[in-house]
Amino acid sequence: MTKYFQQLFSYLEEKIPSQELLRKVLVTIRKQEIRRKNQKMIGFLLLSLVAAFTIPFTSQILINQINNSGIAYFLEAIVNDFHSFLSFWQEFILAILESLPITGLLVFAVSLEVFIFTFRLFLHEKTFRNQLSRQRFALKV
Amino acid sequence: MEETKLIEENKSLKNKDIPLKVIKIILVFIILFTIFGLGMFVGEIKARFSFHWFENYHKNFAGPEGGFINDWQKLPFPPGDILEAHGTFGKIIKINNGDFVIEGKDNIERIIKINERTVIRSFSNMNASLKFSDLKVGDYVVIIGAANEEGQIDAQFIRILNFL
Repeated sequence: MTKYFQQLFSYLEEKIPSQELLRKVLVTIRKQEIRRKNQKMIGFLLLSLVAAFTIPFTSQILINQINNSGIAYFLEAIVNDFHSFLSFWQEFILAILESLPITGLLVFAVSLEVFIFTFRLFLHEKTFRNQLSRQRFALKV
Repeated sequence: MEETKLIEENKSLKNKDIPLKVIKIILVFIILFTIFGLGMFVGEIKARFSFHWFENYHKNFAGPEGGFINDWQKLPFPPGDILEAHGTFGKIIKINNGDFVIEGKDNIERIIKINERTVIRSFSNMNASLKFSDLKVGDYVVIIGAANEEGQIDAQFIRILNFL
């Protein structure tokens, strides 16, 4: 019995997937990855555009607050009369700290940070996507 | 064999990173607490000055006899923001003997007291030291000083901004 089975299975060849199939699978994987990268890229680009759009408004808020707070006058006094600053440095520093436009600074810093962060992510995704496309192209060729 | 070596090297590198991360986190917390403490300190100074300014408003600028604080629900105006105690700027609207009144930002008036040590400078002539008598109604001035208990600012440095 065993002998017949051995004879039967000796006719079966070992199935090795063809190189073509492997190439096709790899190309499909790359294609999916590129699609995902494209989605991420668009998302980050949109976010960075929104952040970039808010920068003029937040900078305007900051400029208005700087003008209203008088901090520019105090800084100007320090720059133009450093000797007086050295004499009354404690009052100068407290005056500047008291008039710091905190809200404007925060809002501007956040919008700028979000823009830089999302734009960096967009560039990172773009580079990665380009690498994937090159690999896919090489596989296709 | 090589794989286990690599894994161990990686582990030791990660272990080396831990103290650095802890130091970084501690530093971040120190910075945050410093900023928070500084904010509280400055806020307290501003709040104290605002309170004194408000409490003495009737004495300094006229108003109800008991002051506004006794009848806070009928306040004629809210200052909007708490006032800065160490530096201000604005237009001189009245000059008295030994002090003057400025109209600062948000149209809030403040009394600036002058003493013999107050340094008065002009923007047009940086080095020249001016006298109290050189100040005129309508001049724009920047004042650096310290708040007193009467809601006034004892000026230590005044700069006249001629260009405004």
